[in-house]
Amino acid sequence: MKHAALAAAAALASSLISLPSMAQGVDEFGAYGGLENAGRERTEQSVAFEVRVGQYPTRIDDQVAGSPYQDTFGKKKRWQAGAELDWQLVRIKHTLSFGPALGFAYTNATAKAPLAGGGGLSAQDTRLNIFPIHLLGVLRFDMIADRTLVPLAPYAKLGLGYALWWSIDGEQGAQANGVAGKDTSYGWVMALGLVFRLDWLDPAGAATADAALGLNHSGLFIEWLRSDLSGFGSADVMDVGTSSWVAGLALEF
Amino acid sequence: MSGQRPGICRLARPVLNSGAMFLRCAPWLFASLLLVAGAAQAQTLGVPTDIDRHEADGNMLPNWINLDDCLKDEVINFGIQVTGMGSQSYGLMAFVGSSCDVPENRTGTNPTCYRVTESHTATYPNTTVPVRVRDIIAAVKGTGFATVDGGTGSDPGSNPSGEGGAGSGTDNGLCSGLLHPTDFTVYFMLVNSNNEEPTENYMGANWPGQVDLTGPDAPTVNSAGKGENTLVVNWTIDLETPVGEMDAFGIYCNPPAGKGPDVDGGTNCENGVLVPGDPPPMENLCGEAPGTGSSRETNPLTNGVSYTVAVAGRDTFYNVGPLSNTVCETPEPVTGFFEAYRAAGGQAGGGFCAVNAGRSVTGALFAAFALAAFVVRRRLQSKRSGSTR
Repeated sequence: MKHAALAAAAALASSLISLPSMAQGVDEFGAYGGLENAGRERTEQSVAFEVRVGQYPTRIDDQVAGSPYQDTFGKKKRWQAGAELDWQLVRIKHTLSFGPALGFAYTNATAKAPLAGGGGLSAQDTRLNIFPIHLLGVLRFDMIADRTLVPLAPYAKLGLGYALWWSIDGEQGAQANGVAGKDTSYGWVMALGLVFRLDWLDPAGAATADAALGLNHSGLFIEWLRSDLSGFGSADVMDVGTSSWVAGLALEF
Repeated sequence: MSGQRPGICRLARPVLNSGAMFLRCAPWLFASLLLVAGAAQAQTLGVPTDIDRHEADGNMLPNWINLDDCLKDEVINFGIQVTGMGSQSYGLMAFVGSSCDVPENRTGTNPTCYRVTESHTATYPNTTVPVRVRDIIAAVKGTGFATVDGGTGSDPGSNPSGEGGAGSGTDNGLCSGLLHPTDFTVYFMLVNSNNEEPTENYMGANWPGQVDLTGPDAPTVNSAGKGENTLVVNWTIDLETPVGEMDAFGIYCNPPAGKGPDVDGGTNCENGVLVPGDPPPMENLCGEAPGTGSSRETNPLTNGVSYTVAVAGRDTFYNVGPLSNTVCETPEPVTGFFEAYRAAGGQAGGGFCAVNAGRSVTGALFAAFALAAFVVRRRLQSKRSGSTR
């Protein structure tokens, strides 16, 4: 009797949080059969696109004696902006997807260069520009968002990072003892994040967007990003990687 | 009128096929012959829009006149295209002013239109008409030729300066004023001895232009900050010249960039070269900024040498304004980020294309990753196609 009661409770809970099973689909008039409300059954999905913004504290000072980055640019937080395109190569419907992603970002830091002889700052700017690129494997768990009423989709990313960086003093490229102040860095990148699907706010609108534009899901995400671009410990590679929070908008097509 | 000829011919052809019809339509044919004859004698003048005005640097200038043109007493040669055979009783002339098509405006005591050339014989297909820039300016100012030669300006019909008569070396104040671009039009006309244009089958030509003789007001230099082998100059503008008329700012240094104080004698900011309010000496130009700028580094200077610095604006007519106030500063070495990084033991740098073993490894890793993704994709595709068979 006790088992029967538990089974009934479980069935009730399941019916509350899972999708109703009825004829569903999307035709030329839009979503129907409950889709216009639930927004879960979608057109074919294979791509995700992210617009990303976050802070970008570099790891340059961790690699050398002293703190040239902080001494020059101070403790002020710098921001990055970028984008990423995911190809959801392997996809198990309502469960997960996996595939490669290519992304980029840009950040810079600018300050007045100190006078070499002391006596404060000069009037001349010194600047560091960083343009990181990453090639990642992305694993996205859609199970929770697709199978329950909780609109959250966690994900994990792991891969390689590469960055162009260049420094400018005043209006000229920086140099030190004849060495040009520009180079590339490389290493590994990882990220853990969570997407909050906006479909949940307007399921009917989301279903219509899917029918009209092929936009399966849209969501806001927050992600912890860790990149080590020290050349896997190489001494002649500047670690322009970061460890920071990134947020943005994700669109799945 | 010549456009009517094909239609008339089409009408005439069937008429000619019939004698009776020919007689009935004879008046029409006669009239059409008159029209054709009239069209053959129509005279039109044309002026190219891109007059060849080559400066020393070889750039083709647009249709404007600036201070430099006036000071050099430049002559613009207009290649007037002439069609139709003109009557010898008409001469080709150029006028500047308003309502030049009204003969009274070209004569009398209150003229609005001034002749800016001698009379030329219009020759088919082209006639070169030289026009002095100073004569155009005098006409724009409403004084006619007379101003150029110190006359009264009351006889616009005459041409006291004459072509080739310029070059007195003095502009008598003509090359001043006109702070903002002022429109004008050069009218090329056929005019007889009575100052009249042909009344029929005639069309003159116009050349629109602008004149501006005064450069922008002097900016105010707020500071010249120290930099390594440079000075960072900041200025503000309080100009009557709208921003849209600004082309650039020139930064002027004394001693000039690339020369030491011993060459120019301008060390310790003793300055007799850059005088506020005076025209800037071009040999002291040590930097340029766009017309929207308010700060700029100078071209490379020498650390430890004191420089006097001033700024002057330049408008879109390439008129350079007077010099600003002067400031004095000395470039000094600075420590940029990259220098600080290298000083702290950092070894990176050298360029994007610097090659070493580590970078080769990275490239290989990226390639391997891409290859793996491609292989996985192909396998999945083959599995799918196998399952559907």
